[in-house]
Amino acid sequence: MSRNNSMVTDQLTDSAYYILLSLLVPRHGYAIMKYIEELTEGEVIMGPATLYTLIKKMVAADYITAGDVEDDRRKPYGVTKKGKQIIDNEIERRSRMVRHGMNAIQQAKEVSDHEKK
Amino acid sequence: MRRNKEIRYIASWGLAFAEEREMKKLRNWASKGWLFESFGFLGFKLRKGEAQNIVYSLDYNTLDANELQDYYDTFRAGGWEPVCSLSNIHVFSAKPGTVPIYTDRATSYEKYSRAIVNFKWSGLIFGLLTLIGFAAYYYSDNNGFSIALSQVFFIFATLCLMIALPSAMVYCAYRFRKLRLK
Repeated sequence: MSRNNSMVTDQLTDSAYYILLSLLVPRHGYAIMKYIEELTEGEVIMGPATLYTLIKKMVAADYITAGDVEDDRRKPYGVTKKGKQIIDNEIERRSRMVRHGMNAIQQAKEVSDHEKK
Repeated sequence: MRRNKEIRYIASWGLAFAEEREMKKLRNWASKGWLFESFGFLGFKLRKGEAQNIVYSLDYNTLDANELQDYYDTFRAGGWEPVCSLSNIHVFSAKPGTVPIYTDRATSYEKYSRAIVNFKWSGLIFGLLTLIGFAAYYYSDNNGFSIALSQVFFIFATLCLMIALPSAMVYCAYRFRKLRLK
């Protein structure tokens, strides 16, 4: 049950993270998948069911909003103010995590160097 | 033997129990020129066409009529063509090697959470009615009510059981799937 409300915790899954990133500029389904693939140089590829599920959830959580339907009924989505806040926090959090990783590696190296001497 | 050369019905083990196997079966039929068209009674309806090398995939999603277009468009954008929808069940086809419809665990898990809801309630409600029906049958039988009345209770309870039992089995099958995805 808690899984359905995973948005509440404000931590994004990897998939949700990339979708939000792609919606800093309004895009519709195809453009979102294409952009994520480009941005990550093919490392992250998103399936349509995963995309659709998360779009629906993030609309409900008010992270993104559906734009006006103009061009041949394809709906573009874009981040809301709240969504922008979330993505900024998430980028921060993930950079901190990378720093933690680097530091841990560095410290482990220092310990083993020390032991050799 | 069926005489109709255009349409063919094949049996299904049930999507809850053998989703991957059933999708593979449809792929095999498609490679022989029998294309999945819609759901039939306890199985699939196939139509004769050109032999195709395509794969099938299944999604569960309860959608409003105005959401359906956007849903289909998203799948089309991912290379999956909608084939057939029945209530909350949707089948898509694509060329082999297309990116799967679900690419992460969390959303794949949610698929079965959506699938399970109806069966949970029908299992519970009809399970309860079955119990009530049998209780009423034994009560009326032991207290000298008319035979006709106790027979009505018995038939009622049996009919409820016929719905409750499959619902419970399907419910358990989905629960098992979710457990594996955790």
